[in-house]
Amino acid sequence: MRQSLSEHQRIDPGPPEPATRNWPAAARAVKLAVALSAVLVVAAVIDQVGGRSLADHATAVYTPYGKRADPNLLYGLVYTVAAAGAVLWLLVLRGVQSRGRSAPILTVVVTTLTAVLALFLLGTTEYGAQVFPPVWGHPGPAACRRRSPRGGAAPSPPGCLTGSSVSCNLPFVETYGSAGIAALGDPTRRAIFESLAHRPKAVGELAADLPVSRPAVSQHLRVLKEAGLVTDRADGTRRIYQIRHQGVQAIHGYLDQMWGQAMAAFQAEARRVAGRAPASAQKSGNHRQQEEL
Amino acid sequence: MSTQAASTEVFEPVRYAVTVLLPAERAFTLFTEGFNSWWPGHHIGTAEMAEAVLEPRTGGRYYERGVDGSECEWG
Repeated sequence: MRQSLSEHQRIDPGPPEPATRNWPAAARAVKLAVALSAVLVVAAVIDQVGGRSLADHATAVYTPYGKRADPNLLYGLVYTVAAAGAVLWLLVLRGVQSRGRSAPILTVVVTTLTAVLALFLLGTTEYGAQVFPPVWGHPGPAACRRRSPRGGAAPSPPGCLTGSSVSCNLPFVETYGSAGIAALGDPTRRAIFESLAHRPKAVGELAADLPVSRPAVSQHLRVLKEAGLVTDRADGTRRIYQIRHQGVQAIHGYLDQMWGQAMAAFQAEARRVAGRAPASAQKSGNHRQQEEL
Repeated sequence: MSTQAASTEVFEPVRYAVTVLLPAERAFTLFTEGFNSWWPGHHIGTAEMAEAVLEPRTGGRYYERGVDGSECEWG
């Protein structure tokens, strides 16, 4: 399911200019705007009940920073904006249908309001990421196609995680951190990443240090960039690549979360084992075992 | 200068400490030999994970085996 907010925004200014006297056409355009607001509500309901792609996206944005995303607040915002849009456009519809003098002015006002609301949602960013991306929905298939192996890229061990397999195989894991880890599943990409960790470098410098051709290095850099692990900037005719702090932070957050879960599971299993053999647990009451990783 | 600073940023290692009501030796055995009994199932292979293998010797391998028999190194 995909729902485009920008589409909503683009189509809404549909009602004709005040000068137009084509009332039936105007009424149709306004009805379309009302319908689009309703579609936004339905899409948000389906996403909240089903895919939860908007909530997952927010979780992926917030988790590396130790914050919890509130899905109710997120979906509530979308509902509020959609409901406000629907009510406003219904008002315009009434004006248009009664062919009142105020209808053109109302249309302009509501069009502006809708555009401002849409821009507000699209422009809301936290930690450098859009909270409401223009296209919701499972990023998997698109990402898989985009990252499909191309000629020149070094092969990964068969059956192991690669850039192309992660979003297909782990669709429900927080995408940012795991996409970063997946991108590093390839040994050559890991070598490029480690090389950039020392200092920012151009493609030519990286290719000189590694037994890989320049086009292959470019290919790997593109995957790393898509995974949010590196950024590039122009320096004359060259492009300088460097590590992206937020990308590493996302991986760190992902690993931290994963080990948190793992250690809680270990503790639970230890409790179960200790409970099963109370005598030995009793005897060892003073023993404290710490597992550090 | 700022690019240098960004690329030399240091991240704290991921470190966890939990206290369990087991003698150290048994806790260690549970952690290693009993790995599959408590590991929550995180895996990196494309196939579903059948088990994780920790070879109990110096220089031993640490990997997962998928349900299709494929193997993926962990470290």
